[in-house]
Amino acid sequence: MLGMPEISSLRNPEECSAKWPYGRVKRMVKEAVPIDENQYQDIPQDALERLNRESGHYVFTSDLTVNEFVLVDEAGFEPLGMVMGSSIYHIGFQQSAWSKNQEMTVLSQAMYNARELAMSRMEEEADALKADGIIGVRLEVKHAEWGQHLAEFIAIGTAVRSKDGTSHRTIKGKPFTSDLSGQDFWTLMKTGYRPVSLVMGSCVYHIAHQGMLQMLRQVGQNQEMTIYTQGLYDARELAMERMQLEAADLQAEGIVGVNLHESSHQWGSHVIEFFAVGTAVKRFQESQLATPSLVLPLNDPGQ
Amino acid sequence: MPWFRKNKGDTPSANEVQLSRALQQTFRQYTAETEQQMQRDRDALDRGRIPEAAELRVKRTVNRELPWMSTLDIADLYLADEIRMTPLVQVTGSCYFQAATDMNGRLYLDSNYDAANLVHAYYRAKNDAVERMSQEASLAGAHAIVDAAFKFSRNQTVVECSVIGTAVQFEGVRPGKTPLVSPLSGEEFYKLLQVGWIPVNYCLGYHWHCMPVGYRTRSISSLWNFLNQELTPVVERFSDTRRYAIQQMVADARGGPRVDGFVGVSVKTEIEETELRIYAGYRGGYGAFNMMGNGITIDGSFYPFGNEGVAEVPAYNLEFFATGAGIARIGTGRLTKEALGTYLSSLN
Repeated sequence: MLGMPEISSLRNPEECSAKWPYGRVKRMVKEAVPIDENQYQDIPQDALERLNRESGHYVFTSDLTVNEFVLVDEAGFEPLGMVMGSSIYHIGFQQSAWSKNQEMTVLSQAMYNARELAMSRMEEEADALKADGIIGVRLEVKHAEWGQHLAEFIAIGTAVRSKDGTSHRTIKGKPFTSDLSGQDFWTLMKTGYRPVSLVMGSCVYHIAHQGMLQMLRQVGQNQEMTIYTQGLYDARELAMERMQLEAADLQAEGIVGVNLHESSHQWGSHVIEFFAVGTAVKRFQESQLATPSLVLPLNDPGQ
Repeated sequence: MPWFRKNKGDTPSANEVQLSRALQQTFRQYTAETEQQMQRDRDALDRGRIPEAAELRVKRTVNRELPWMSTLDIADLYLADEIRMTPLVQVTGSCYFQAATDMNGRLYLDSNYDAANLVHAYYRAKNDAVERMSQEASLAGAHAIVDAAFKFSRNQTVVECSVIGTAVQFEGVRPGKTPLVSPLSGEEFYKLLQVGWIPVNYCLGYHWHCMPVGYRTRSISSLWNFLNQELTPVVERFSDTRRYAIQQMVADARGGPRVDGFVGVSVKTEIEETELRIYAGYRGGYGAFNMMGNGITIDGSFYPFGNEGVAEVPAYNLEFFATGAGIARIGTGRLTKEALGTYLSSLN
């Protein structure tokens, strides 16, 4: 059982106004709570209290719908609690060359690191619950209005644990993560695959502006803007390759439900971020699903 | 205390900064492409090929050096497995195409006031994107591309078309020369196969027309017209625009394997007010136009040529954009592997 410091001491402005609140909380936890020093380093004390399943009044929380809850149970898992990780990150500056295509590596790295920080904090919360994995992960980016170049990265999901005690952790010993819904999770498990990890790749790319001479050369011509096409291709390829490499690191067989998001955030129309995200999967048993029968609903979803 | 020292206490210590840097280093480090690589990619695109990175990704994925990836969701993957359709690799295609303009970036119109160059740009952007995606799928030895999500956008006169889909292979069937393209989801693909149909390609119908108007048309929408009245001339011209677009869509379908019909057609229309610049000496236009030396009469209004020899005429831009999946009937009831194999072989 974790011994908790007074809530008032956590809310003490002097204590909490430091640049590194997680580090500060960690030190406070270390002083007040008899837990392993290296464990749950990044989890605030409030979160540790919420996650303490031994406290006697523990009630699981989840953002699963009723259908999802029932299907997760049917798949042999139980929800343990809603877990979350966040990172408020200052995105650095990089000067782009006006007339050149180039990857903005400082920005790519910032977007990746911040998401990774949020994800790893969420994983630590799940770890504290002794979860096998996290399903329904939502990874969001919000740009703060109160600070320039600041963005808040949030990862939220529901930690689950196998009811039969089988471990479904990754080869790195972390809980698996997945953005699949409860329904998709059930179907995936029944097809004989299991989620390994939410994998992602990011690339922030500056697309060249056209010079006056180039514009004059194009007057009266129907032609492809190869420089734009190449920029788009390269940005997308880099994002997808990075996502695939993450999955390969975890010895996954494939990635399902891949989504490619394209956004300019606050960098103007010539700087775009390609963000590829999907769930890496691995086969662990033969499919247990019966042959589907063709059902054609009579209601029109368009109405 | 001076103002610039006031917040000194909040500055992270050297140790904290070092700790943060060390933490950042634990993440995967990204490296950008070199300028030479980018130039090689541009050259490849100019030669009608796909960039090196795309080619390498497809090859490494097919050779199982990298995990396969797919845009299909879990239910789609299950259905794909049920019909022995294996997802191979995610495939993509893109093209930015610029329609010809004058020095001021304005579109040229043809004698019928149609923006033929813009229509051409839409088709080139779409065809080049599909061609590039098909090249990736062919490299993987795919029979078809399913769940192909198309995105069109236009910034003034530059049209962008991007598409992302999943290349798939049917077990035990020899790959065709050109893969079929289906913008339908895996589930819809499955359903069509159950009833003897197969998605063949993605078709586009697009037309853009500029309609100069004068007193007769504008008086109908005037504040001083208290009658209920239809803008018949605009409706008629818009009908023509729609007819041309659908004709184009059918022609687009005829460019590939046999198509018996379209499903999942989506339509977007746009009518906006604009101003058309007609140059003195321009002899195009409709029969209703009368050239009268120093001006032009359109729809009951006379518009004089200004000092530059240009008459500025109010107009409506009429745009019709339709896309859909071309499908073909290749059997009755649930398709067998043999029927599918015979059909795909006939395309070679």
